[in-house]
Amino acid sequence: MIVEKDSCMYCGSCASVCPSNAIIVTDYDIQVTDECTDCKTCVQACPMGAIQ
Amino acid sequence: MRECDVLVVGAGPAGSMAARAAAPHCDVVVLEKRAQIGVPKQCAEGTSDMLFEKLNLRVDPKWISRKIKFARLVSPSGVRVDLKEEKFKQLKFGYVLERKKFDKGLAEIAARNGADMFLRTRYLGTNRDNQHIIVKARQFNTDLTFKTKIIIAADGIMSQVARDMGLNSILDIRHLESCCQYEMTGVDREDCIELYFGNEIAPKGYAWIFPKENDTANVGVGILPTKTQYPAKHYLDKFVQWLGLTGKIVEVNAGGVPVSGPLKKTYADNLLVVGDAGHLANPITGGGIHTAMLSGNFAGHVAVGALEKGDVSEKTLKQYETQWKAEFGRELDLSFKGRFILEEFTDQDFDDTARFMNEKGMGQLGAIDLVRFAIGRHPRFALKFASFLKP
Repeated sequence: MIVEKDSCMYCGSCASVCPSNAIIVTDYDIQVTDECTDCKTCVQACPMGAIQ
Repeated sequence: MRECDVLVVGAGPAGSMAARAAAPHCDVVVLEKRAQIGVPKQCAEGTSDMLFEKLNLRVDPKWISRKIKFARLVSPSGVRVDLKEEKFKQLKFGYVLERKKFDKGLAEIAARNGADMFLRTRYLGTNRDNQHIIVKARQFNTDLTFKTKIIIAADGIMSQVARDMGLNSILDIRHLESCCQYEMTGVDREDCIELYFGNEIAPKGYAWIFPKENDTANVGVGILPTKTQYPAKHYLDKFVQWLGLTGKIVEVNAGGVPVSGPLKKTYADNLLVVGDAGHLANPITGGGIHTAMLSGNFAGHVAVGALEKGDVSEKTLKQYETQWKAEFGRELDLSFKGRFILEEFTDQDFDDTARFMNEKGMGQLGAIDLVRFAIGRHPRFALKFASFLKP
């Protein structure tokens, strides 16, 4: 999955629902680790539509 | 290595209330990942005044953006139900806060009580060391290590702390309310919070206008993303257009609200989980300031008691859960069940219910009348209501 950082609000909705605990959201950054299984749960969760 | 008695991760209202309660009695450290407390807000900022009495907390006028006299529900075709009768006392008087000032104010109280504050400090992980917990963190460009007896997870919906300490805090996406909000100018409103329902406006959620100082307001939408086609922002833009608001957007907020009901367990050996980290928000309203502050306060006091007793095992810390359940466990439980009934409402149901509420007059109408009404409309609701009413 791809995070469009220009639209991301760093709110953490994606990280809270990630079944693999693969998203780390810090103050002004978001990282997706190798644990990501591309399940796309985060795509749905994002209030901004910033993940594809 | 910095040793302490209680380490709180997160300086939101839950974390600061825990630190406020514990700091006069023991050595408390607070870690906050951000450089500023209370920003960015992820909240519509509404709460009741009774909360502050319960917490014996003096309300600083600068925390309040607007005093609220009543709540208004608006059905899809525009039927308004004003909840201002005596019966709904809890809605009669409330506040829309200025979270930037409020969260910071609570953190200042915790700091004055003696809590040691570490800002721009990212929690990295924990391990156990006999009876203690070793916490790794990073402040600016420096790695820090703490050794604590109790760790309080106040790190919000993502709660990494609870996960690292062995609780499953991953939120099922079916129980995430995905929210987007604009703070806008040019929204002249009465001293009233407005909630708009409807499957076009905010599918499986609601849209809101919470007025703030002068002509500003929080205008937002919360939806269940598993039941909707578009992200929350899409519905918010449509809502703003539908309302015909012509003011300007002066702030954009986004965030998720846990509407799952509480974690199965909000404590473990050396651990207490508070506020959003424990999924303690109300599953219907999404309101979580009151439960965050109350749970934080309980956690702080229970931590002190456990330290005095010299037992920080889950056997002692379990009291924390007993206490918050006694205070608002039933509210969360009923709201969780009620959520599923509301999710089945058609727009027609919302309209008819609103008319029914107005005809009967909210003053005379109890929850049971509403239940009878809804079952009359849809016998299939009967089963759901039965479980809803179970004590």
